Order: sequence, then structure tokens, then C-alpha cells
Amino acid sequence: MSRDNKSNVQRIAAILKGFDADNTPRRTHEILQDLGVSRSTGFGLLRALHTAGWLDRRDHGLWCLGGKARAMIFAPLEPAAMAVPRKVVANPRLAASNGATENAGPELEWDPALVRMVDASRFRHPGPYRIGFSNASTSNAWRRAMLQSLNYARKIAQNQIVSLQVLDAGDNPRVQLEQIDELAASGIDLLLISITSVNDTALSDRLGALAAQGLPIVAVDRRPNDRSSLVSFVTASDHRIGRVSALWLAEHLGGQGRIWMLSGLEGASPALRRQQAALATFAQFPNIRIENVSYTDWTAAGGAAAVARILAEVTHPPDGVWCDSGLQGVGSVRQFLELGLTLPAHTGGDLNEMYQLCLRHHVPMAALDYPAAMGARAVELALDVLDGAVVPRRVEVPVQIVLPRGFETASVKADTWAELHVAWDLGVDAILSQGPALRSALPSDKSRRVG
Amino acid sequence: MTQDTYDRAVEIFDALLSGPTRGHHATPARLIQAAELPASTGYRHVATLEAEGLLRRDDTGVYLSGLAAMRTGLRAFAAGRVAPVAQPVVVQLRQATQHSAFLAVSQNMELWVGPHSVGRETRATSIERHYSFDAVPAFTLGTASETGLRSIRDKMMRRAGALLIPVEITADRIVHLGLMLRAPRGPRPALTRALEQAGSQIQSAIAGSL
Repeated sequence: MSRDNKSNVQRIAAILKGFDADNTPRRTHEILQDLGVSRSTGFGLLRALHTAGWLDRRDHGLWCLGGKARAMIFAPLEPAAMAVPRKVVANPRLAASNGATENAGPELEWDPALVRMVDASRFRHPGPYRIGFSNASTSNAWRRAMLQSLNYARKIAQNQIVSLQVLDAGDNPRVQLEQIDELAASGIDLLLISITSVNDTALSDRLGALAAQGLPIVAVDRRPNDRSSLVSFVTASDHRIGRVSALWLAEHLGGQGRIWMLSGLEGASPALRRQQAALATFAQFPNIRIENVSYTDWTAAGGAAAVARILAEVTHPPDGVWCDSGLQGVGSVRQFLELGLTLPAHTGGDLNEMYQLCLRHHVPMAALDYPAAMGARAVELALDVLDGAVVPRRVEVPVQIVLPRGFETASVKADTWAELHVAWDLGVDAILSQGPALRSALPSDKSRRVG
Repeated sequence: MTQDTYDRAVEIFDALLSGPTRGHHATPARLIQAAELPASTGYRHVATLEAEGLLRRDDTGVYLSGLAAMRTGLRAFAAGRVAPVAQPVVVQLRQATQHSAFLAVSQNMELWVGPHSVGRETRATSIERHYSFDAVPAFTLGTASETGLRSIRDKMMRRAGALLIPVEITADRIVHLGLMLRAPRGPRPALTRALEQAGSQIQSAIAGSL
């Protein structure tokens, strides 16, 4: 008798996924043992897989993946790129003056950390698993979307995850420290963490102690400065977000102008890395002047307050407002609108309202959504770790460049148009980068659309 | 259970897994319908395959092959070591060049395309699952070369050009990183540079995993 209630389709998946990187032949009894099924069921499945070409038979009861399994390599990694019927350049004069040519391709900015692997075989044990998530906070729409994405992935993998316990630290490192202890004491198999403060040594020390005790820890979105306790870190390229958005703004302004910078949360690693990358990029344009840098806590109120404060001190609005996210960007745009001022070019995506506002009021904008879908990716990675796979030490969820039509620059081309990206049927606080979780969630409050 | 039961399970597995390659299915119901399965059991099997990572959904809900499927496919070519680095390398290469980037495996005169990302510059050239080489290729590890490819679809042969760099060579197969090329042009120096840089990353990752 079989020792589980799995379906045969599930068993087939387990058989095919059980081969190693070199497709080393496996013995029948070894496969059956891993599967936990009776001999008759096991032999029946192996025979059927062999007949259909999924498995090849080797001598003396050995099996390896067959021709049909090879066909599985064909897999799109991103949504298909949009069609480009003709070259669209926002300002052809600018492109010409910059000397942009067909041969001036962008340099590949390679982060070697992306191909560093870690063998998680020491964490392998049979499921189903108990996972704990120590979340920095749910203080803004993006964080709530990331959590929604994480819960979506848990729902998909409900057979493998017996419980997912989520605790919200409310951006307080002391609270997070207590919650980590609480999660660890509850007997979780793996800890997911989004750290409240990158420099908090007490948190880092506690994570280090738990890692030393054998608890696998995966960070998502925010990690501690000391990453030695982590198996892996799921993130997106903050450097790319900062650099590309700054490059677009500088090129859009023809290489000269006054810029105000609105960063997110002081002390949060994504805000720090985006700001550093943007400053380094602006520094390449001698006639770009950074007039001020403000922190906004990634909230619309923070963005509006920062802009109001600066406008009270200066006589002229800026030529551009660099925002590391639309979370505060919407506050800035709203403030200019309320005061009846000409809207300067803005950067920052994430929030549906940012796209709705900028498109409705024809604000030049560039956005790179920080993917909230990393929540789901973190759960997938957690399952890979507990399955003992070789996993990347750093996982970057791809970030797409979103521009309104007609606003490409010499170096910054759109992956998708803002007009296609915006969701007019969803609420203003929808985060568009949360993957399939976005449409599976309850309908947003449509009454709160941008007016 | 009879052997028919197991054969039927394999048929269901096959039908659901090949669904994404036969069309855009934005709901489980459509995928189940395309696989010609009864709804009563179809939902359970789709959920199983999604949970196993063999199927996944894009932002609009359309079903795609999952990352575990790609990993298993590469293992079937004894090239599983490149699987963990496939996504970051291919996506970064696409972002840097805006050309369609892919990993592929060749055996003799045949080339099987694996994980890929379509770039806007080569959007008009669809990526096929399988190609034949136009001429007997001579590859050198770590060196990019322009290669003519042929594919047959709908009883029509199509030609395409690709820039390929071998990142792992064994006696019976070669793993390549590649970029599709725009038809009237040859490879630009910037493309070759980007491909060689990305290829060297995969080579070092493979070396590090040995």
C-alpha cells in the first residue's frame, strides 16, 4: 500500500524532479523509497513514464530523464516584450546631441553576487513545512502588496506549507527582536525576514545565533548589513532603480537643471542603495544640480510634506523631482497640482495612482516598479532551501522600465508603456508589481480612484 | 490499479504541462479545457503542478512553464548546474541588449532553446523550441560566434541568426548562451561584449559549483 494520499500526477512530478544536475541514473528501489509508494504503484508509474518517453531505461534497473523531459527546458522567464513599430525617441534633438548611435549599447552592469550559489542540502528535510515571516511592517501599500504576494504563494503551495506565521514589527527593531524569538520558539523550519533596520546589531546577533543553531534564514526586500546569517536574499536591483531613473531624468532634462530628491525611509537598505546609485549617476552630468535630499517614509504624506517645505523656502519649482518610489511620488505630484504649479518631471512607480496621475496630467515620468512579487519568490526559494537544492545567494526579481509613450531618452528605453501598465480598473493604492496575486485579491476600492 | 491508470496519469501530466506552449490560457478552466480533461479532476492537477513549480502564472494570470520544469529539462541534458543562474543571467543580458536572450543546448546539428527572455529589438523574430544549424558549427568555449539557424513551423522553414557562446562543453552536448540577431544586421560589437561578459559569469558559476 502507498503511504500517502498523493495523486499519481504529484508522484510523477516527484519522480522527474528527483534526478540530479547530471541526470545520474537512479535505481528503481531508490526512486520508490523516496516516493513512499508500493512496488506495484511505483513500477506502474515508471513503466508509464518510460513508454511515454519521460524516462529512459538503463541497465540493471537504472533510470534517467528521457527525451520528453528534455523538452521542458523551453521556458519564458519574463512577459514578452512589447512590439516597437518604429523608433520612438522623446527628444530626437537630445539623442543627436548626445551622439547616440546604434553602436552605443548600454553596458552590462553585472553583479557577481547573482551567480554565487549556496548548497542548501544541510537544511533538507521532508515536508510539509512550518515557515515564519518576521515582517518589518505593513506601513505602506507596497509592503501590504508584498505580503499579499507571499500569502498567494503560500496558498499555491498549501500542500507543502502546513503553516505560515506572519508577525508585523511595525518598523520597530525591538519588537522585531521579540517576534523573531517568538517565531523560533514556535518550532518553525525556516525564517523569512524583512529587517526593520539594517544596522541594528542586536537583530544581526540574534539572527546569527539562530543560524548557528541550524535555522535556515532567508531575507526578503530588506536584509541586515551583516548577511552572514542568511542562506539567501530575495530582492530587486535597487541600484538599477536608482541609476536608470536618475539617468532618465538627467537625459530628459537635456543634461541640465535643478533636481529635488525624495528618498524613502531613512536607514532602510533599498532607500540607501537607490539614493547612492542616483547620486552617482547625476554626478556624471555637471550641469545637473541636486538642490536637496529629503526622506519621506515612503508615504504620500511624507512626499507632500517634503515638497511643501521646500517650496516654502525657494522661489522657483525644480525641473525634476527624483523619487525612489511612487509611494511618496504621488504626494509630490498632488502637492504641485494643489498649488497650481507646472508639474516637473517625476520618477517613481509602484503605486497605481502615480501612473494614473502622471498620465492624466501629462507629467513626464519614468518608473521602475520595485517588484512586490518578491514575496511569492521568497516562498518559492524557502521551499527550495528546505528541499536541499542549490540556490543563489542573492535572487533578484526582474525590474521593468515603464515610460509613457514618447518619453524614451537616448539611453533609457521602455520595457513597457505606462499606458499599458496602468490599471484604470483598479484602485489608486493598487501595487502593480505583485504578479498574479494582484488580480486574485479582493477588488480594490474603486471609489478611491484619482479624480 | 491497472497499468491504464498510470498511463492515464502520465497523459494528464503531459497534457497540462504542454498546455502553455499551445496557447494563452488565463484561467485554470481554459488550461483544463485545452488539455481536454474533466473539470472535476483538472483543477486538482493544475494546483498540484503549480505547487510543484512545474507551472506558474504571469502577471495577467496566463499559465507558463514553471522554473522547476526548466530545471528538470536542463537536468535531462545533464546541464542542471546552469539552472540556478539561468534567470539572472538571461534577464540581465536581455535588459542590457534589448535582444532576445536565451540558454540553449546543442547536440550534433540540433539546438534546443531553453529559458529565454524576448527583447524588443528582436521581438519580430519568434523564438522556437528547436533549431537546426545552417552549417556544421565550430564552437570554442567562451568565444561568441554568429550562427545561422533553421526552424520548421507550419510546414515552412524559417531562418534566423543568433550569436552563441558555449558556456559548458561535454562529449555529447554543448550548453550555449545566446542572443537572437536582427535579420539584416550582423552582431554589433556591444552585443558580443555583453554576451561574452554574461557567458563568463555562467562559466565561473559552473566552475564554482563543481
